Amino acid sequence: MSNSRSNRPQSKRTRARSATTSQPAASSQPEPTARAEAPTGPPAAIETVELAKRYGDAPALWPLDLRIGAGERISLIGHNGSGKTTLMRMLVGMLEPSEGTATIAGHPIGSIEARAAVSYLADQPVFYDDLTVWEHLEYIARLHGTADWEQQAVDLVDMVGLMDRVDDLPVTFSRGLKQKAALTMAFVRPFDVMLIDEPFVGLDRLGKEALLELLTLAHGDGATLVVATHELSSVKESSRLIALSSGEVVYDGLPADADLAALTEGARQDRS
Amino acid sequence: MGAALTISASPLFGLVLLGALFFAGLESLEPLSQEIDRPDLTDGIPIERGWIYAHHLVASAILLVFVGVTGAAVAVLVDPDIGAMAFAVAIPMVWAGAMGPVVVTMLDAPTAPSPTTLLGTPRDAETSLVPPEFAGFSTALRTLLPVLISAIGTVPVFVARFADDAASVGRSLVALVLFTTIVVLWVRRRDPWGLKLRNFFEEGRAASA
Repeated sequence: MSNSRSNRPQSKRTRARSATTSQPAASSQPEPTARAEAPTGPPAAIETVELAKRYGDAPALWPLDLRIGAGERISLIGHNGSGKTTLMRMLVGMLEPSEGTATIAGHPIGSIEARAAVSYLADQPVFYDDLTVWEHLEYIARLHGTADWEQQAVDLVDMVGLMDRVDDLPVTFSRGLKQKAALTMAFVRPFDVMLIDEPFVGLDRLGKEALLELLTLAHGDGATLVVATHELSSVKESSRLIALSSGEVVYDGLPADADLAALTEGARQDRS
Repeated sequence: MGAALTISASPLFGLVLLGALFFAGLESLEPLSQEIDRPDLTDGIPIERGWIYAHHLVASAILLVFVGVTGAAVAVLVDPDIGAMAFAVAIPMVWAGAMGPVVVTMLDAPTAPSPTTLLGTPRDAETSLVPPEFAGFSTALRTLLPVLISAIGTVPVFVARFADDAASVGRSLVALVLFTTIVVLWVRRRDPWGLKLRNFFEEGRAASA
């Protein structure tokens, strides 16, 4: 079901990527000792160095150093305006950072290679006016070179309960149905990293269950998942919790060790 | 019909022809317009934007073939004497006529990518290369430019009216094809060209600072 590619660490693509990323690092280090200290493992799924964003003079995200390993399942929580969406949009190359750099699977954010590796589900689904659900899936899958997209698409629309609506225009859907259609679009393409912003908004019970199952399958296939959510009940499924407040990381650790109520309460206090 | 009347009746019918070319082109470019209006979807695809934009023009070009052939058939009904020429001129003419709408549509596309993201900086955040005193002229030019570009598509019709020889019409058609090719190439290569231009000006500013 899942279209994750992360369970192929020894693929030609991954080997080529490791080679291309290691060469510049080695050549840019004049000291042999520095080369010996450089990380030798595969590149992190997501890595940011002093990544920051300001809107005018208002900081949306303070300089952030973050490393997310391949295969991690992250929950990203925080109050409205805490910087979750800003961080995600910068990581997918849709927002210009004010400072710092970031990579996805070892590639600079926004590069063709990074875009091939990351699937992003925005908090506000966007659709073409004149394409049906099925046409959206075909368009996206074909542009990603997905060979067996039809069976994949059938499984996805069936799973989220959209089988009867595949020939309808998603722009005419309710919020929940739009979210389901957007989910199928995010999962029909290959990906190593998935960034999802508020995926539970508008979903009914069936939709939430389907989404959790899709995330579990993708994670099982080795994909790296980052889910920004206010749905705290889903946090326990993740392997790591990152909490943002006013553009700063206020917690980064195991979900089991976190006092979610205190974190969200603190976030609310920060906001006020 | 506009072409036939321009050749056989009055050059003023060229305005009707120009309007028809412009609006036919604009309608045919709906897929490109929708793509440009949804940069989030486009930039989620691991393919250069220019490649996607240029491929949207293929469907428009095919649609315009039908428009051109239909127009030629109607022109022959109006003026049977222009039969062969109408069909020879029709398709290059509708394609070139659509280049005005192509340009006006592309002007709404995200600007050239920055080194770090493909979306590029917002248009209003760019450093304007136009001095404020020329802003009005720039706006007027931006409004008129697509129509002027579409007007190039009518050139073979006027050549047919005033020169009235097949060789001249043929040369104008070759020019139209070249012109159309250049605009399509611009759609395909707009981002890398824009990036080079931006870097050129930034290097100039850095050197003069």
